[in-house]
Order: sequence, then C-alpha cells, then structure tokens
Amino acid sequence: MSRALRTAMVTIGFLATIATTQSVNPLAADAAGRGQRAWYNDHWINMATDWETATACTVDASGAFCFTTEAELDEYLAASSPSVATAVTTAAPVVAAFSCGTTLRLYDGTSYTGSLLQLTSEGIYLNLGDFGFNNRTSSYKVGGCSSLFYSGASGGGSLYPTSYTEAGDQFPSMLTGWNNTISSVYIL
Amino acid sequence: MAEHDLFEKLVAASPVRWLEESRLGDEQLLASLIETSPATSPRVRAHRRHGWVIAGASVTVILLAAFALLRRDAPPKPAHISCYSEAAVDPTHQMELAASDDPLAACRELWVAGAFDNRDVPRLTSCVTNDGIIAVVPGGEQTCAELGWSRWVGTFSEDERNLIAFRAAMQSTFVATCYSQSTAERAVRTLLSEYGLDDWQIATNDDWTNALPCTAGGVDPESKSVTLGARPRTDKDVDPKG
Repeated sequence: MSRALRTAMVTIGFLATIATTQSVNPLAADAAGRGQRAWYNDHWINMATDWETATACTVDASGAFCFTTEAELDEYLAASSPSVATAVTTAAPVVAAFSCGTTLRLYDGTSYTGSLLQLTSEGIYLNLGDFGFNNRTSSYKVGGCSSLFYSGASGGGSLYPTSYTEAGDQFPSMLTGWNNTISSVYIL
Repeated sequence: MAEHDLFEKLVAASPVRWLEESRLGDEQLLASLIETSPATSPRVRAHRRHGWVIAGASVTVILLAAFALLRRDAPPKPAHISCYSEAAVDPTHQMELAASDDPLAACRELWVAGAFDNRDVPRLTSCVTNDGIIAVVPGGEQTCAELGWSRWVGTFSEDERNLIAFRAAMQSTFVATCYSQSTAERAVRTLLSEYGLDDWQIATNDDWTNALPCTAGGVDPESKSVTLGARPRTDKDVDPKG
C-alpha cells in the first residue's frame, strides 16, 4: 500500500472519530419520533396513538389541546388569542413570545396551491425573505388575527389594502399589481 | 580540549558516557545511509514527489468535505425558527415557530399534531439557512450540508438569548397596543438600553396619519436596527400605560 493511501486512510479514520464525537452532543441531538401528549376533556391522550373521540387539536409552545369538534377548537382559539407561548425552561430560558392562535397562510400559487408558509408571530414585522418567500405570495388565508402585507421589507414600501387582510379573510389571488410582490407582513 | 569549545564542554558534561563510544555496526549503518540517500534514482524521487502530491491533495479534499459536513454555525437571526415539511431549500410547506430552547422538539410536536399531514415523525435536524434563520428539516447529520447550509450549534449563546428576549420584549410592547410615533421611539430607546443594545439604530418607515395612527416594529440583528412604521388601529388595541 502506498504511503499516500495510508495517509489518506489514517486521516479518514481520524475525521470519522471526530464526526462520531460531534453527533452525540446531547444538546444538539437529532429528534426521534415520540408521542405528543395533549389535554382532552379531563385527561391526557397520546396524539400519536389514539385521539379517542377528539377530532380537532391545536399545538403551540404552551401545550397541546384537543376537542371533540372543530367549533370547540375555534372557540378555544378565539378565547386564547393572543396566546403567550411559553418556552421550554432551562437555567436561562428562552423567552415567551406572542403568537396568533391560528396562522397566516401564504401560498406560492393561486387558489391556495404551491408552497405554503405559515406564520404566527404577532406584533413584529416578519420579513418573508427570511423564509425564502420574498415576492412569492399569490394567494392567502389570514387566519384568526388581522394582518398587514407590505411590498417592502420590515414594513417598507406600499401597504396592501387592509380591508382584504382582516381576520378570517382568504383570497385565491392577489389584487391587481400585487401578485408576487409581498415582502413583509405584520400580524396584528 | 580547547578552552572555549562548547561542544567539547557538552560532551564532557554528558551523563551518558556510552553515547561517546563507537559500537559495532555503527559504521555500516552510517555508510548505508550515506550511500542510499544521494543515490536514489530520479525516477524514485519523482515517484515519491508524486506520492506526496496525491497525499496532500487527498487530505485537503477530505478536510474540506469534513468541514462542510461538520460545520456548525450560530444563526444571525436566532429568534426566527421554521419547521420544514421536507429537506429542501424551497419546501412545499414550512411553519414559523416561536423561539424556544428546543426547536427540534417544537417542530416534532407540529409533526405529531399532523401539521404536515403525515404523523410519522421523521428524523429531524436543525440547520442555519443562508438567510440566517434556524430551519428544522427532516434528515440526518449530512442534510444541512446537502442543502448548502450549516448545522446549528444546538444551543443559544448569551448574546443570542439577549437578542431573542429583546425581540420578545418588542412584541409584548407593540402587540395590541397603539403607540404614537414619538411614544414608540421612546419605548424602543428604553428597551434598547435595558438590553444593552446601545449601538443599535432606530429607523422609521413612513408618516403616521389619522388612518395609520399606531406603530408597528421590527428587529434586524444584522443591521443592528429597529424599524418602526405606521399601522392602523384595531379593536384589540389599547393605549400604552403611563
């Protein structure tokens, strides 16, 4: 075996050792599937195995909750919006953040087709470029919280007519001149 | 022995006397060394040089590949987390997540809840996208590199936690509260000071009007700026305290 080949093999072995060591960092460990516990009526259920008679569930950072009907879910979401999403706590916990109970849905294609981006954070400009979605919106569903659409980043440029982006609004296409022009949104 | 000969002094001071002695075979060994080194044929020398070039190139390629695979970065926008439906730069479905200590767990919960239509939770890994946010995508250790991204280091630094907390404070300040431009700027300056972000700038987008009397805010860690803009008043809005 040539010296060059031996050198290469030793290097590969060394790097493989490093890779193995890195991958077992518990703080960065990859997730494996595990059942989500959700509160339903008066007890916990495992959403991964049995929803019992629940038909609608919601999950946010504060927990998971299930309901027998979608109407009950909507009632819960209306009562809990804006919700304070509590984070997993550690010695120095990462924040609680405001999020709308139901998400703003932006679609790449008309008639709610193509790639979908769901947004939930309230009270802060959300730049769509951060999500690879700049100038792509062709249809949308506003969800439970009114929203503002802008043609520029961080609320810059023109404001999409607000009467078309109120809570519950959904449109299969954009107003004339607005297709593929939305760069930032603000969920109220 | 010359009086100032340092080598001789060192030899004289040597505690290992037998090193000075000539042993059987030393002469032959020295002769063979002298004989073989200069006598190596040009062909052999060229072969050896060729070998070293191959070895060097191999090591370089392997190191670059390993760097791409193992590279772990901190996200410029740590408060932005997105959960992807598949390992693609442009996924068919992505969901923004609130900042949390465990983005993987938060994304997994969405999968379990059926947010992506398939309740079989895949293996997930977290990357830093080219836009600077944390993306949790289906896949393993190599997925981030395959997408042209780096892996996320897995924990937030103190500066990143401070940035996340500042962004949350901005949200809690402006959500459902109608600040005028001047009161908003004062509130933001106070927040910037509280979070030690005194070198940040405040930018304003447009003019506040009767139709747009309230303030919306945004945070851009890369330009170290807070952007304020006018927005309409909603039924949820209250006036700021104080």
